[in-house]
Amino acid sequence: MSSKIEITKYVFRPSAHFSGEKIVLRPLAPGELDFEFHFLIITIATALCSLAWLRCGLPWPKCWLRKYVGCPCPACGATRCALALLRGDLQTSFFNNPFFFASYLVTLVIDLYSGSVLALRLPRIRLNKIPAQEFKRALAILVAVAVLANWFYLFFHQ
Amino acid sequence: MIYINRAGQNLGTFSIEEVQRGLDTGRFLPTDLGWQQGMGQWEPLANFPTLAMPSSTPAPVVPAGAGPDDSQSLALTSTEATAQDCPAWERRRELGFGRALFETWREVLFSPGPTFSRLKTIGGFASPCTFQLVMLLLYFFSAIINQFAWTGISFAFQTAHRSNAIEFGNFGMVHTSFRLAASLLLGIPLTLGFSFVWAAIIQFCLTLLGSAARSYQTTYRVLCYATSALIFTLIPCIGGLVAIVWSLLVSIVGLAKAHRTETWKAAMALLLPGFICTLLILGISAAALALVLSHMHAQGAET
Repeated sequence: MSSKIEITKYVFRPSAHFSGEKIVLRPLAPGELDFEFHFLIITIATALCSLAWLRCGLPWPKCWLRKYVGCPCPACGATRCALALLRGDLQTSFFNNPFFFASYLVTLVIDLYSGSVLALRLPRIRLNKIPAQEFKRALAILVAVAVLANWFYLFFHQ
Repeated sequence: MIYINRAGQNLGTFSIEEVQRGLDTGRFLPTDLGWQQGMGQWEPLANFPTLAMPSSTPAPVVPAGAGPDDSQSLALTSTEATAQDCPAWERRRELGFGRALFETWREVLFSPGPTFSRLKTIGGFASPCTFQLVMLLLYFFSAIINQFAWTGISFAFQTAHRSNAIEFGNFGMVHTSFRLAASLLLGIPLTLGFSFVWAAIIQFCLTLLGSAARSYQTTYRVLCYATSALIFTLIPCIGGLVAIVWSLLVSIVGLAKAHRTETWKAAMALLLPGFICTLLILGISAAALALVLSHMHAQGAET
């Protein structure tokens, strides 16, 4: 029962978590994993290598599902979505794959945050306590529903 | 509230009373680092004026860097923690590069159960990432050998049957070399980058199944060490298939052991994306077929 209340609180009252109860700004402990640094390096390196791959004229990622079954997979349009986003064409990018569009934006926001805290040596945003397993599961179900909804969209628009 | 950290591992957030009790019982050490609102840096608990240090320090109950999550690290026993020393790759400075690599292959491929049961659930991403890099280099090496072997065979075949085959053959060889060089230079960092995404997808599937007992880092570590199976790609022709199957089996066993979950759940987590895809496509195809059949039936009734 209490876990259900906790989930409802998390989902429906996000503002409560910025009050200092759930989220805290603190320095990294010596030897603690630097999430921001790792995230920034990995995403930037992956994005640059992907761009170089396409620039070199190497084969684009093929969708086996589309090739053999004729249906789009949940990631169909992700490359076109990224390229349109790079061009600044937000509308095309969104309609190519809404879920990946949102994912790229979230990645961009986290990169901006990571770059800022690393450059300015600011304290890091951390959760006060590890969320309950039930909360993680509820979040995972929400994401799964979003992926499925996105896939249905792709079925009818690609 | 005080945040406690030991050897880079967060042990959780506790009230001053809890920390004091922990110090008295040996759960926390005076050398553990603590931080609370208003402090600029982490300080040893011994420097906290609000805490009284015990006169004699009892043996710590919570091992340093025992688990991935705050609650889990506290839940682990010291026996479990001292046993967390595998795989050998993590001890390569002590064992040497070659021996550590060989020992890791042996442990991961031939006794994955005990190896992943003892897998350190923390320790950063660097070691597993380096291991994956070594395995990818080996894989690309075998891919180059295979590619050139096949291009050579194809070239020899063309020479035997066509007068102008030399031009085609040379072009093919140069083209293949460029593609291989480019895919080697870009493919390795890309694969390393996407392995983080793949681990996130598997962690997500484990969470959906309620089996993600450990952190994302654990999943990443298991999947990286499971790439040991790429060694089989050195076997010509069937090596790739053997590597895929073996890697899948090792990943399933590894995820099950590392996350302390059932094997079927670990298998489901790995196969869930494909399984859902298949199920949905079958469902949509069946619905479309039913619609077409009902339409045909209605037309037949009208005529």
